[in-house]
Amino acid sequence: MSDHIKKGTVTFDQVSKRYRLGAQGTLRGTVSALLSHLRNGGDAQRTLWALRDVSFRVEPGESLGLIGPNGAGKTTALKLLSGITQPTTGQIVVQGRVSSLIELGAGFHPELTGRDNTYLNGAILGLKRHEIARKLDDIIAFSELERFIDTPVKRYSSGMYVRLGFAVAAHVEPDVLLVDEVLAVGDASFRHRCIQHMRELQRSGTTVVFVSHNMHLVRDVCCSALLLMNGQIRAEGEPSVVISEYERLLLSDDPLEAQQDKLLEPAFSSSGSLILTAVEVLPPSQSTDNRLASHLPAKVKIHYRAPSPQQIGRVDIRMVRHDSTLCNAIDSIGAAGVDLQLRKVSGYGVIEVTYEPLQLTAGKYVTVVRITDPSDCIVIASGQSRPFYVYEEYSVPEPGVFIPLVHWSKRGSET
Amino acid sequence: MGYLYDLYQYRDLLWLWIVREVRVRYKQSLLGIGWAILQPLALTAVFTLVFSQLVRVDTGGIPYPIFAYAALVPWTFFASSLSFGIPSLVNNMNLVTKIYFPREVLPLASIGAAFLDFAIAWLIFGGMLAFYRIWPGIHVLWVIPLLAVQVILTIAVTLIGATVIVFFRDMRFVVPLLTQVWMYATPIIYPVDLVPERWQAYYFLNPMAGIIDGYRRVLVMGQDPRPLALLLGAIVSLLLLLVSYAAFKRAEPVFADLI
Repeated sequence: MSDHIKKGTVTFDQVSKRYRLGAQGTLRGTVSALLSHLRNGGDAQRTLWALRDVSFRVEPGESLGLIGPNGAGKTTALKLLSGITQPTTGQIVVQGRVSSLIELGAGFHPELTGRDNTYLNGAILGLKRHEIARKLDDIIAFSELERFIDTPVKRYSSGMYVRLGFAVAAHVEPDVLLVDEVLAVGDASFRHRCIQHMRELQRSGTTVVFVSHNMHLVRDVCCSALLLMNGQIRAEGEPSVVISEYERLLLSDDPLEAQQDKLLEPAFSSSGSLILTAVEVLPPSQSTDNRLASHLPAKVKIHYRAPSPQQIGRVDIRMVRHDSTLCNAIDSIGAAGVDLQLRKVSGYGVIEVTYEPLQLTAGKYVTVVRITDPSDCIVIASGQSRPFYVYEEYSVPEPGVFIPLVHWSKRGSET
Repeated sequence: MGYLYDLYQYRDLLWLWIVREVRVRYKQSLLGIGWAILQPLALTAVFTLVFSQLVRVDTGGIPYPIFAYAALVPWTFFASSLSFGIPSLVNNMNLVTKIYFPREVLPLASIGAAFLDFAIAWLIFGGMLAFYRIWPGIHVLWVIPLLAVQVILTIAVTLIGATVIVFFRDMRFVVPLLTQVWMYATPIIYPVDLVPERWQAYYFLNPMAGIIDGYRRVLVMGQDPRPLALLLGAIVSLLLLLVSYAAFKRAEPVFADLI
């Protein structure tokens, strides 16, 4: 036991958190709960263990990514860390100032100006008034709201609101920063700035605990990851390894996610003159697995039906990662030899494209297909594949969106 | 004591939240801060009409308007503290469930905002004193201990209420009712002398009775407060504060789970 624990250290020691479910908060609810308790002698099914026996430790300056499906206990863990709620059993120690990006713009009042709300929000996040005054110019500059800072925030767009909220939160200079999916809001440039900022904090020694559904972000930002499922730790360690474990579990034994995928019926639309009946993405050999290897070829099959002969302009195929990142796009125009051949379709048919190899990084994707009319202005048919998973040859997935085919060499005198 | 240190760390939040409460309350109202005066003034007018014209209450020779106003200003401070402070946690649930800060900041800020109204409402009291040619003299200094006891009691009751309302939303309906009953149990529309002598010992168990009576005696009647009433009120208020702050802090960890 070290008697000196450094600022920024986060420890979870066998933490469990139980929530009571059901009607509470009125006299009637409590009385009836009490009565049923007396009658049944207990109500085990009315409680929920959001976390069960979870232990981990984050050292100063490290960043931990919490991943897992909805309801796994990620947000509960953050709430426990920030002190909003207390564990049912176990112990939590957080050294130093904690700041959370759980709720941006907490305590903002619509009637007050951006400036007033900056003070208020800063104070809620634990800043002193003089600290806020000192940082005010930086905060305003960061939010890019110079012109609107004396306008009541009720006049702000939701983007402006979030920008100001983040700007304040970003200037708290905490020892421990908790981030919960807030990066999902805002436009791409805002998101980029948020991530940039998290990295800077990390470099300056801030401990970061980060909850996200964006695996690519977790891989990029975190030095370790923790997979929670049903309130328990399923995997921990190197983010890439934990994420591939998560993706493997999603495929194999998570009925919820599988159900979600089924619900996510591929979207098809058509002008009537050409109908896409299915889009398939298949591994080289016949296999029922919907997993594809990055280093092996893959085939996209577009099944169509044209009631009458139909001129078409262009076939456009895109690989889209589940976080909506467009990873690559190809189209038929200029494709040697095929282009002219594709210009006319009729009856039933299949258009095939082979990617050799697929070259995508590990993750979940869909393929989106669009076919335009000869003028190339109007989409006459579109469709998409079911989600499919890509894994990489070596167990540790790479960041980025594709794995290039490379050839390494070395020149120089050996001494 | 750790709690108080924690609260001290968030003193700037307390101040800013008071400012927020005040601004927000009067932001879109026509009369703005004028309501601070108008509220007790309007009640004074009504009570004067009813209790000096229709039903005659013996005030011992004091003009009824100033008799009522001297009691209504502190009472309004108490009542509006309860009505804003008790639901303050429940009303800010998105804050309570998302961010940690000492929760008592919210009810305390409501009391702070009500205090501003209280201070402003005294402004025209000076005019009333001049109008009725009343000179309270050195007795005015008694206001300081009276106010201290009142603030202690107000914090105590608000914290208890704010704790209970998290568990039972029924409190929303109980608070106005309770405040109403409490007002009649306090010498606001009538003087203490109307309470039979043998009941007065119990009567002053209500700290507000000693406090309001005290304000009236030192500000209007030029007398000292009843020492026993004030002492009893102070003891009851202090005990209540200890109990309620402890209860509030014990319940605090589960607020976010229940709200």
